[in-house]
Amino acid sequence: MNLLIVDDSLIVRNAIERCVQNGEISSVFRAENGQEAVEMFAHHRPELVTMDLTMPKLDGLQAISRIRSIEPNSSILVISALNSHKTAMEAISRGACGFLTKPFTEREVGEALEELAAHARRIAH
Amino acid sequence: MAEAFIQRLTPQSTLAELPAYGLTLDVESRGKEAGRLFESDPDLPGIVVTKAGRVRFVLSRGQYLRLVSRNFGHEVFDPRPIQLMLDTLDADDEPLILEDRTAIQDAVGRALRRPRALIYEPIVVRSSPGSGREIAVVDFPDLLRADSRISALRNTQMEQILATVEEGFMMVDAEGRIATERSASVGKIFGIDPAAGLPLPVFLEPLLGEEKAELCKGYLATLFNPNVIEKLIADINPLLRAQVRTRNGTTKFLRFRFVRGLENGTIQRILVKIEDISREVELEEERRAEEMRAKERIGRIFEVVRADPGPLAAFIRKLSPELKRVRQWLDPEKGDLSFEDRLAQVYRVLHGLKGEAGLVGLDSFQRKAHLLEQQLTAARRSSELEVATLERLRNGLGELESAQDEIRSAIEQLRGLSAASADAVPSADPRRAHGAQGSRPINGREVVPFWDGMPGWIDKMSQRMGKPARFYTEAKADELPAQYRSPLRDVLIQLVRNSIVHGLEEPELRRKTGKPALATLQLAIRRHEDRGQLEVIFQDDGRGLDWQRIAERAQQLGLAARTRAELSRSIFTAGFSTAEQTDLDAGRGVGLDLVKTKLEGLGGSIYAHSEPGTFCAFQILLPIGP
Repeated sequence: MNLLIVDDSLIVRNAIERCVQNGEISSVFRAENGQEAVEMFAHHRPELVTMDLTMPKLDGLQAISRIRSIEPNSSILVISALNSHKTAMEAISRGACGFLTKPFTEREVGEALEELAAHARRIAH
Repeated sequence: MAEAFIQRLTPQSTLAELPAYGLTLDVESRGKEAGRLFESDPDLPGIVVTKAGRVRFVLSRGQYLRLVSRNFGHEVFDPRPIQLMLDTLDADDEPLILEDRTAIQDAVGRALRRPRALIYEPIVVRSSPGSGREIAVVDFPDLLRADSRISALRNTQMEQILATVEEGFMMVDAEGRIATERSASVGKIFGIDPAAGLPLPVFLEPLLGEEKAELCKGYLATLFNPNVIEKLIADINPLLRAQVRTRNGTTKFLRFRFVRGLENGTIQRILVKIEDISREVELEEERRAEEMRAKERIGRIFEVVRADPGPLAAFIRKLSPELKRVRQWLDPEKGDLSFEDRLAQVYRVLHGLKGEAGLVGLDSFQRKAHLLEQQLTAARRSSELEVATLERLRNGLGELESAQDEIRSAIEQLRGLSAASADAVPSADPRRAHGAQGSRPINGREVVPFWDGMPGWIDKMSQRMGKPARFYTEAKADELPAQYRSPLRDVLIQLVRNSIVHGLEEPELRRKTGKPALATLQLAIRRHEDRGQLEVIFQDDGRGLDWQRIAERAQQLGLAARTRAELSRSIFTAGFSTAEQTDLDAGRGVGLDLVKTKLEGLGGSIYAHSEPGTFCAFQILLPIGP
């Protein structure tokens, strides 16, 4: 399985990548805004995506919609500092599978990625 | 040693529950009397020494042993009155006396705020009248042991509450309707039993309010969405901590958790777990408040560590007499000043202290002074009774006074950290600041310049105002007569403040007009021996004075406004300032007026020069002896 990490902060992208312990994840792609995320997704078709919400060019909510229109079965986890229930619900109604609020610990992200991978496996079967 | 008292403590325990030793001696008793008492009870931590029936001192075992173990100690002290021991110990301060109903944790706080040298000494406990033991000594280690026991008890109490928390369950179907299955405690938790078939959000709306009920509806829908991973939405559960108004008008905190019920791989219903977490929330808030207080104490220590030691010591030394003067002005019984004059005097002193606090890095003190200054400004306009106004201001002053105490105690605590670090910390004690143990001895050759600490302050303040500036000087401290150091410091603070707040442009604007983004503030000092004058020039490279606006304002105030020289003089008039709002860094017209008055008091004068768009300079002339 492949993972696409979308966040405008290099520090956060690095932090999330460090959390990848799942042996099933073979490649990690990185994008720093929604626009780039959609292009990367269309090209590499990763099974798993972590998505920031507030980003330049194209924001996370719009990126989720576009990615889901390319691949309705993609598994997207929102990782955002935006702690608004409304936005979270909006992200989920557009097709996100879960929501993790920043700041996060490596363990939290690691476990969340496990869950996301398990979810993707169920869909694939 | 009897440690049984530890076992009997509860989180609400007071000093009355600690071992107490009620032995007293008069200052006229012989030293050997004290020795006899210490020998007869090896646990006795100290003896209350009274003078004419009043508590004068606590002679601790440690202090006694230190005295008599000197050469000929017994010979000197045994036959003479205890008063001699007190004199030798230089025991000027009143001992800490606390009521026996003081909570242990409060008592520890008070005891730790004693001067470092006395911190391990016993404390005196006074019991409520009639209870037999009027006055007694409590050992400090006993107090600490009791405190740590109580902290441990509090944590256990928290855990027990978590274990016995009330919990209820109910089921919700795919339409969000409440099913018939639910635990008996549900009715108890809500104060009403939910009717089966009622949608959960509808049931919750009168209890939680419309907004939360709406969020609950959205969250339930999310839970029934098969694309959503149950564990990965726990973070956005809107009811993790919901404040609920029950029917009988009380408020409680509930935690809702939602668990999917699967049948054949599809989500059929949701199990809703409800816990009453009111007590937990309450304890958590208490603990948070306690943490905040602790943080504030630590924050103050950090402020003191960061502060520049020389200027901080100078500030602390002048703080106490200044606050005393302010208190007198605010007391209608003292002095015969008019109400307006009282407020004006207080305002001037406060304004000065505020600036200096910022300069030495005591931001919290600066904020408090600013708040009081604002109160004062409001008081000048209010129609309240004058006596009431003064009383309110005295209360406000209390805040500043306790901030002062806390700064001193922070300094004392730091001094004790280690002998080495004491060098970095100024003494709060004026006797020590100049003495051999002083933090920074001012010897004949090294003179602290009056702009000491200024570069750092300017750096910080100009950054905060979004107008980065650098302070630059080639002046030498010894070019100044000593008596001008303190007033020139006050003046410079005021001028720098004015300059940064009003004089300097934003970096963007500076760039557009071809100036470097980083502004420059310059100080120059020249001695004119021929004229017997000292010339101090402070100059910024900001936007300069707006002569047009100054002329308008001068005319408004009925001042002469024909020539540059007249305009230049007008800006030093009381109440002249054209800035509309007052903030932490610049006041309301009091500044330049204050500067001029101060300099004239020294026989000096001040002039403003400016080229619009280029610079503003203040020239100060002061007399120097031949």
